[in-house]
Amino acid sequence: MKTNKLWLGLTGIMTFFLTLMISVTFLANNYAGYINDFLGLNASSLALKGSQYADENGNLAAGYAQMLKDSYDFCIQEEEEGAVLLMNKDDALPLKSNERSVTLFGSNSAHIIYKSGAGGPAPNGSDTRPDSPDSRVISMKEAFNGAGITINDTLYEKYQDVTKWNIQSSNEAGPTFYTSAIRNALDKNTPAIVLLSRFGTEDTDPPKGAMQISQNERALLKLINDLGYTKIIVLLNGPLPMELGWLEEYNVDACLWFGNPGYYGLPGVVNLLKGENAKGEKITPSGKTVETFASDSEGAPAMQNFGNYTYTGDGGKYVVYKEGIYVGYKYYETRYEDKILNTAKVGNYDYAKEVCFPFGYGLSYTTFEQKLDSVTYNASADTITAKGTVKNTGTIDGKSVVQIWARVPYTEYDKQNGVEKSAVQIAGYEKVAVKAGETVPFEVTFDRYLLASWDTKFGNGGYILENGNYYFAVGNGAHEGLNNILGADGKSGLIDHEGKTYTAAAGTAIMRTGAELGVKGDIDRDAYKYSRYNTKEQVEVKNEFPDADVNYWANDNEKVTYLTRTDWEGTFPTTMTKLTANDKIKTGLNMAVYKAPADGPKYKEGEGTVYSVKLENPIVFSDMKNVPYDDPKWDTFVSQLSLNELIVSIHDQRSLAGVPSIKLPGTALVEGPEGLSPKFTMGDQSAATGFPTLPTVTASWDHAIQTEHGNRLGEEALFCGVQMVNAPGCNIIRTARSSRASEYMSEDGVLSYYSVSNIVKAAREKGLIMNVKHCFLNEQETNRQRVSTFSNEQAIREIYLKPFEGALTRGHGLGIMTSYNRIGLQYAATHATLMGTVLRKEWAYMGSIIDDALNPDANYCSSPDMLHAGTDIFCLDGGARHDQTIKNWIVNNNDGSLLKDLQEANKRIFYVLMHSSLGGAVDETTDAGGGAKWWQTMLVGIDAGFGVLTVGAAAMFVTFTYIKKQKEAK
Amino acid sequence: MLKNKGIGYWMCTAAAVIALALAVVLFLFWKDMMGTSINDGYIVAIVLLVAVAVHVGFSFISVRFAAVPAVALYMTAFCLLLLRIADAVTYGLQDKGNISGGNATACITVAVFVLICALISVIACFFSQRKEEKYLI
Repeated sequence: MKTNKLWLGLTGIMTFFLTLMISVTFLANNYAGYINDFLGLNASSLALKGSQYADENGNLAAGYAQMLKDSYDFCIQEEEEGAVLLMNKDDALPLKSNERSVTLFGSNSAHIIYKSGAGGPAPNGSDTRPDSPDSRVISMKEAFNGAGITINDTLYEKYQDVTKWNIQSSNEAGPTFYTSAIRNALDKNTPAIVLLSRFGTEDTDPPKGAMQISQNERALLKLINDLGYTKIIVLLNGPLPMELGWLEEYNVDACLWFGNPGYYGLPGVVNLLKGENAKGEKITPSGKTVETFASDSEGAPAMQNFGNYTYTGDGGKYVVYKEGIYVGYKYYETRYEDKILNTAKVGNYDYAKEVCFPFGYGLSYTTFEQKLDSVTYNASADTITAKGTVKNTGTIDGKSVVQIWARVPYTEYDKQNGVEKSAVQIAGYEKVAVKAGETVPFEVTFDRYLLASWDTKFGNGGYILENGNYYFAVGNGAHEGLNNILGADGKSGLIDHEGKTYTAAAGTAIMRTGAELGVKGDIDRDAYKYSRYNTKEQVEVKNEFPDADVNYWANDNEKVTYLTRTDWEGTFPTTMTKLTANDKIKTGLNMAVYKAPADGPKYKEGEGTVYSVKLENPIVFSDMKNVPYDDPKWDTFVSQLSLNELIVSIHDQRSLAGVPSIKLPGTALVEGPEGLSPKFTMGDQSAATGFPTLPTVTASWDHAIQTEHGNRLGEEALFCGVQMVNAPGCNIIRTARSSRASEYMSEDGVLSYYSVSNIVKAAREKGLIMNVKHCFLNEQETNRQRVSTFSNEQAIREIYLKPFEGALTRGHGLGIMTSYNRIGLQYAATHATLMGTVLRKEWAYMGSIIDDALNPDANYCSSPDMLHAGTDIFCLDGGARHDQTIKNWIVNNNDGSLLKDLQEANKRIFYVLMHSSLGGAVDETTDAGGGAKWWQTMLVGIDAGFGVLTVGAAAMFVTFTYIKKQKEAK
Repeated sequence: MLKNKGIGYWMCTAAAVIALALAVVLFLFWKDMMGTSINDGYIVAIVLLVAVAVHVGFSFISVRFAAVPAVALYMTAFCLLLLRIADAVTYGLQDKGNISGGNATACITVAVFVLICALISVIACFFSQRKEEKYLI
């Protein structure tokens, strides 16, 4: 080949690689945040203060090992406290001292669902298979062996080859799996421990019938019986409430639910089976259910409208929460009460056939007797305090959850005006330790506010308290609590969840009149008429979501009647399979409505005065410590930033980049509800801890455990260099197939309110800002993006918004994430009323709001609409970027008004960061960095290298082709 | 015009034909391919058409290095394409629903063919544009 052709060819090759590398460089920089997250470069080295493991100089390294050990130990404790003993016949559990060998059945015993995998840490170890010696993940085998209990290794190893669970099926091994060789290796004289799993995760809901026992599971239980096992214990793995009406059929002696144990929590489960922890101390289950275990989960009211529904006349999706407030136990217990009261139109309803295990229910290896001695109202604090005693009438020390159940008056006014009232609701709880034979006092204080009901129809709507008889009771779960109330109210014919006659014990319920609880008049509309959180202005708390009700939009012939206890039979939800997209709906579905105000400020005129202001004494981030939110210094601080700088902090790619001009360091923003997703920045740099998931944490019914969960996350965040996490999940487990249940707390708004606020507050005290999610009405994964979700205001206020309210008020949270779905027709991240009125005014919320990751879209995720409505941070802002879209909008439309919104967003973000561990760590010497990361420099270097090679090859081509030939010609 | 054209030229022509087809496909389907979050996917098609136009121009004006600009233009198109299909492809590879739509398979297919155009042009650099080595430049 001629030399010049060779050089031309090399020029072509170098040009190819040069432009390829430039492409890669552009692409990589567009996703810099994700790459930094993958490489562990988002972690801030500044988040050093506040750890209980730090030395006197604030250094963490020496405390790392202890921190990790404490986290792993806490995982075990969470399972010990959160697992729920549902059934225990003849003291089948704990295992006897001579029962140190068991047969572990269930193919998923070798494939535990540790977590949903939707957001959280990876397992640790070079070989992450649980039974690998290199893995820290603790398998069932390791958990049993570690407790000195052997399992049938032959069977366990065979199970390794069985296909594990997925969203469609538990994939339990079929009958043919149990060959004669396997059967011969089994010992019927050992207890049979049968593990059954149900999986849920992000993006897909399990199919209909997933909570029913499968044919293979039935075959397995039959086999166990046929083999002659005399003790059968069922373990339930997964957050979703399986239908359990078959327990008696297969002679099951005990049943323990433990949810998702995280990577390190299984020893806690085994300790409970053994009745003894690693220290040799006797322990007993103390958890209570956080969901109703219905006999027929598909028959629940909420389940009638759960899934995929398409508008008629439009391809969009919708779902209607026709059950209103009657979600979970509120349905089962209220209809039961009406059956006892022989209310008209209660229909054919048999509680014992409907419910296997009630909400709030759980057993122990010991027994407790709870007495309620007094209920008093403190008008100045607006709280109610219930006092009583707990006696341990058994022989084992244990912990007893004291639940205070409340029944508020259900009046004629309510019946006439559609104010639905649950027969019973949880008001507060405490967990008390009681030694065998001893009696200890308890005291549970809760806000009277939690007893208020929402009256949609009167005036502008609002919370009310009514005069009448208020009952408070203790009880093992909602059903027993209600039964104690009904007993105190003189009602008869009570049954327990097994259908046996129930007699309420004396001293388990107390009645107080409305007057005794400070209720003024027949209907007190003033108690909570105005916001109880906003001390700066009087904000009326009124109907704010009329358009979330499907009846606001639907044609007259398609309007719905929500489930009402005045007519159970007639209003039991039917599936709303048809909703016509009329013109009103079609117009309402368009989210891109923002326009720059014609008379608004102009962007171009504001340079130097509104933005990019050059201050005589520039303000840096550390100067803003201790500056109150309303101080105008924040506005001055933000005014220094240019438009390019203003879009930096709203752009999330697993981090918020720093802004060098104001010495703001970068921030790591990670997942998730099942533990922090990144790795520690010190020690062995292992992945952060995969804790037991939130239903298990909540099932402890223990404020201390829930608080410590937040504390552990806060500690781990310091060791990971993380300031923000998109967690916990606050949506309601509305049905038994709500797939992200492991990331949420419970089916009840108030229990979730308490649990999440405990977690968020503790985490914040360690400087971890938790973006609670997904606000709101995101209770199904099916069509979660864009689905129009309809509910009525009462259900919204009392159930679906309640956990978020708890997180941001009681929990003092400074972060919240809006949801993918529409609230009614309004996409949550563009819902100005939600963000501007309810969050900012009613709840006096000063933190930041992040959306749930969606790319800019002209029809739905309209960037200017989102920012203008109150979205501050754009989550996982990808290739088509919100930040650039907003910048282009402001410039192209000369929109000073949207610029102002952008500045407000920055102010909130900076305020939040100042209250994170970042704020605790910065001072005037802090270098914000902000320069290129090593990989960015490397890419530029490679680009330059190929550039040189390309120019060089081209030069050689020119030399050999033109210059040399000219010389030869001469 | 086509007399005396060398192997290099015909290779560049093959690449141009593919590019022309890709440009048409992109003009017609870029929104479906890349998803609704991308507003300017047609730019890739424009760059491909520029590459085709440059090749047509070089058909009349013979230059030794005609393949090199072709490489640069096809790779520029590739760069612009990568930035616009990244989300559709990552969602598709994770088998996750993406509200913005997009078709990962189509995106990857187009990207592969653009690369093929570039690679053909690279190889063409090693071959003559004309049988007789007479060039304007």
